[in-house]
Amino acid sequence: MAVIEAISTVYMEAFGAEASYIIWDDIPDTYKHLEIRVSGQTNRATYGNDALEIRMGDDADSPLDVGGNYSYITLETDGTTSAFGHGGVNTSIPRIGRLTSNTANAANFGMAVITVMDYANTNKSTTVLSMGGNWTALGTTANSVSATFNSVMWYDTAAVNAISLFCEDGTGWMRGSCATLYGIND
Amino acid sequence: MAVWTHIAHESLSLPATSVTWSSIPTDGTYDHLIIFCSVRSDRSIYKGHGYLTFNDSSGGTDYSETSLKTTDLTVAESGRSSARANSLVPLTSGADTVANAFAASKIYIPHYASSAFKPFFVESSVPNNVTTANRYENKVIAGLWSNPAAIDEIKIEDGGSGDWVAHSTFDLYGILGV
Repeated sequence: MAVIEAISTVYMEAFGAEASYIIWDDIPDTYKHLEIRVSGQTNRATYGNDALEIRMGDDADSPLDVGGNYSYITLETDGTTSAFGHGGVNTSIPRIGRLTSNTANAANFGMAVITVMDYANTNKSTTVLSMGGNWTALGTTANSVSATFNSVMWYDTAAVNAISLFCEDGTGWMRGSCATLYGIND
Repeated sequence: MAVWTHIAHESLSLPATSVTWSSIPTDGTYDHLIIFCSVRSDRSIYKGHGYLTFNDSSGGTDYSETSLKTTDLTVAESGRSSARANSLVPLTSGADTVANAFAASKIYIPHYASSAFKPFFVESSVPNNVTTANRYENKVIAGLWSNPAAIDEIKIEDGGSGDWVAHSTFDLYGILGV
């Protein structure tokens, strides 16, 4: 059995130009950890990038927990000012990364490598780590380039069986975006 | 094509001071190591750190590290330390952190069996449900073990006089190929 197995890839071509979110449901609880690799662009009409958000759900949700049951921490630089921190608690829109918006160059995509740690352990809240960022030709324009290390905690202790990725300011993903969900075995 | 192998999994059923993996192959079975940790200490702290040591080398001055972190949701801080007896990773949640919160970390150790000094890189986060500064943390660390020996033993212990609580988990993976 392979240690890393691709569970599912979502390509935006399959949904047209602007699918509003990516979602995986009925994720089996048989892996130790999950990993998601994202290459994405959102349809935000201003600035050069957009925040990437994550929500999770369990068997009791349908399928996601959309309440204020998340916290997040961001360690980030925009390439110009000093690196900074950001975050929030008791929120329903926890930030897990940054992607490119389509205002700068249609060929530019942001990326994130997201690890959902020990996601099936019902004795702990689920913590998610992510490294990534984006580049655009807007360069030093505020909110246009980024390098980020993010974390999110979902307060629920249930096993995660659904995950959604969506953007904060745009209303959808642009064509060419894709995301793959992997399971990491023991 | 790179192939991952799951070398070991430790899921604590009872509190324990440390987790040690010994006899890690250094004969080319793997090229690189990655560790996934999900940990919480029983110490009365909001956040803290563990100790990472290789080859039972604690007590020397071979560890150094450079870091970037945020602990207040506003400012990022850089830091460095050298001539340490161990590395101050992974970060950990403590008994004062909200219930059920466990710190998460990934530790990358490339070319762990080479004859050069050993660099490593760490992503580590202590989550919480409050905005009060210094009760949570995100940190990235570039570390160096200034020793040319191949790494055949890794120890991850609580950074104080406490234990890792039950349900803390530790996974060691080997990667072969490029």
